[in-house]
Amino acid sequence: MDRITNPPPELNDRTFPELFEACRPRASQERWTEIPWIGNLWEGRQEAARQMKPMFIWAMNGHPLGCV
Amino acid sequence: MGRALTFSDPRIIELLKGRFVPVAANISSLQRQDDEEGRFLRLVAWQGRFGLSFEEAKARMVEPEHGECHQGQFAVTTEGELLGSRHTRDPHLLLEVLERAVENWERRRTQLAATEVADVADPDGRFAWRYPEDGLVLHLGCADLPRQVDLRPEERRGAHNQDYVWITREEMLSIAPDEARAGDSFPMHGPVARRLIRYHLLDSVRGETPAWPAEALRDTEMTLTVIAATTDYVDLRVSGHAHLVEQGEWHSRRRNNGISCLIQERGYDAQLLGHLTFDRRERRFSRFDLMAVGTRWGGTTFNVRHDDVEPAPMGVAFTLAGREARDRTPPHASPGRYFEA
Repeated sequence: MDRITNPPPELNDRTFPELFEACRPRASQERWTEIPWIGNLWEGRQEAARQMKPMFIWAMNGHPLGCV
Repeated sequence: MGRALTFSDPRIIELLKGRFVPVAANISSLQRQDDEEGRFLRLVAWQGRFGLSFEEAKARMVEPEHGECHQGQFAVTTEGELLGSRHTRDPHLLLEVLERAVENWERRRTQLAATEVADVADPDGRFAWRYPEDGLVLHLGCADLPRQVDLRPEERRGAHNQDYVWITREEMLSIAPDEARAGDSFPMHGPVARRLIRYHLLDSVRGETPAWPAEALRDTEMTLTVIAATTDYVDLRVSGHAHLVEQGEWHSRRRNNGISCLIQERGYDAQLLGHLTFDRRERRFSRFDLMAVGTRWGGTTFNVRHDDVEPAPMGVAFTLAGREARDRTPPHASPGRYFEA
């Protein structure tokens, strides 16, 4: 911690809006959210059976729609 | 981010919207889940990722402790018949898989009629999440902040990630107690403060990372101050800090040359500031904007910091989650431990 060449910006009421905007979730601006993902495997299986469609399963360590 | 790269191609979006039921699943516990849902995932992955036949996969799906990673992208019928698979971030390769799966669907041997699939009969309770319908759900984003000296490759600079925070109704109400008056100051409810810090003040900017162990919390404080209070609402200000340090051994593999990098410490030293409004009539928060800004350093096995371990600024911002289906995604944690933080 004694080698800091990149200090963090000061967080106060004045800087809050800009810093908040820089870090806030951006998913809604990304195209992958246009896909109507079902976030639970079994619910997806039930829906596919009802609709008579194949399932596409995106399986990851960590939830693909959350923190990955 | 990988998901933005892989799933932004308009042809992939249209195929998934029109020809498939698209499902996103966290397999970290699901692959070990000892119930129908876990077995279905294993049936699919043993074929799609490991090349077993349908019959071989069916025989192996009953083993919950198999020691293999079942990540991937799989197109299947609801009976688990494989139509196509790949484990890729490349949209061109994924498009090929989807187009082939559409062809294979026409030749399928199973799922020949619409049907109802019953709920999981005896779910494995070890991994069950229950969405806090009447509680508080936050959506968080994390990102690196601008640096004075920036040696990162250009493509790394825009990295960001997200997660969700779940808070029960009882916990939510403790943040804005009925008796709160302007000028009051009190600590954030302990379990909420610890959960926010241990599970969510994390360097996940480039990739997932484990929660902080309890002993990593060297010096933390999260204080609420009532700015204004009426019969209709209460405005609160959050202030505080978190100094988090953990020593360990994390081996992070560099993708291009295969060299393993050993990291022995990670930390985050952050200031906290937030602005909250609790609607006393609706009994819910109408604003919950909270953020941490500070210096992170080190890394862990999967958060891809092997080339960026020196101290650098990072922010984490929390806000109220939306109402889309994807906003019901559970936090990146194990449900049992998460609520006991």
